[in-house]
Amino acid sequence: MLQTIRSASGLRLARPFARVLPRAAIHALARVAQDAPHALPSGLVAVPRRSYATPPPQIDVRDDFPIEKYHDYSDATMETMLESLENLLDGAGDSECEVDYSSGVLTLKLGEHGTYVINKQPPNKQIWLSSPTSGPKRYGYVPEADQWRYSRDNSSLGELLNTELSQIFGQDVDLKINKVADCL
Amino acid sequence: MRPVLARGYHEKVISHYEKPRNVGSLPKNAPDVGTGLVGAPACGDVMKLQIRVDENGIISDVKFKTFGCGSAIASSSYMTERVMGLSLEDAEKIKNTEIAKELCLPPVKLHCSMLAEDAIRSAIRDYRSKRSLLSNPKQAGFIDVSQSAATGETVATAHAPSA
Repeated sequence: MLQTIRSASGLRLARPFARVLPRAAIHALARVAQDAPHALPSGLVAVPRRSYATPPPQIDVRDDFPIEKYHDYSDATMETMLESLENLLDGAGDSECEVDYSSGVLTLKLGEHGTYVINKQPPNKQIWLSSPTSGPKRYGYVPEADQWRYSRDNSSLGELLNTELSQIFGQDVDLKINKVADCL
Repeated sequence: MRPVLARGYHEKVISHYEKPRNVGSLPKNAPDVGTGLVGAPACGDVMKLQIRVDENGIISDVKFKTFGCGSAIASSSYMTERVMGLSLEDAEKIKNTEIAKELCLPPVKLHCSMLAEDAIRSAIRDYRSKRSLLSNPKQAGFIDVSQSAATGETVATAHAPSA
């Protein structure tokens, strides 16, 4: 049970309010209240209820996207990406560059340009990307676009990689993963 | 290079992991505390970061609890050190790249620094939404009190909580 305190001016306020509100705010409240005078039921003390934290932004698991479908789509995307990258590296002929794919984790080492890591993240049905150029992003499957997209800026995995790799290799790169249907 | 490879984690990560700074909780109901809870248990990382903000809008206290890998723990521990004493405006400008650079995180662990960025932003957002609720005197649970300067009569209006 909350206690009440009596201030110098005779106002009864619950303790939490007295602590929360600075003196100026109490005066402001007093002015507002003059428009709608009612008696204060003695002993009525109310504490506002509110949610404590914002919802975790990462949880964006689609119920209408079965896990089997996720694996089909993400495996196809990863395999196509691997094949495109192997072709790209063969053509470039740089011994410092290498690509490796095992247990859902694709590592693309590009010497002085840094290392890309692209991995499957089955718990939230996403593909995660770590780019030495643009940092980390999490891609979810968007059926309307048939693409893996990053919900914060709506960019697609294929476009980002094509853009960044084109810059690094100084040629037009297309990993052919822009539409999942093309990978299946 | 060898010790780094042998241990897997950079020494800065090990330092935060073995001696995490500012571990603990703040009272989440307090009006001057903002709580950020990010991550998902299924993915292996959950981060809780809480800030206490003084009347000047400065972060005067900060605590964290993290369930996750060494890099996730180090990222949140470093974040608490980094935001202490900052204004909310400055704190929300901290980027994941800064944390990753400070802790020398490898590419696959950049996501941990992103989680720490998400956590502080979420805490700031929570604090701000609390404050905007508090600034509305007509909301449920609040009591308006007034006193007439001429007669000394006191009137009060209670806005009963809806739930």
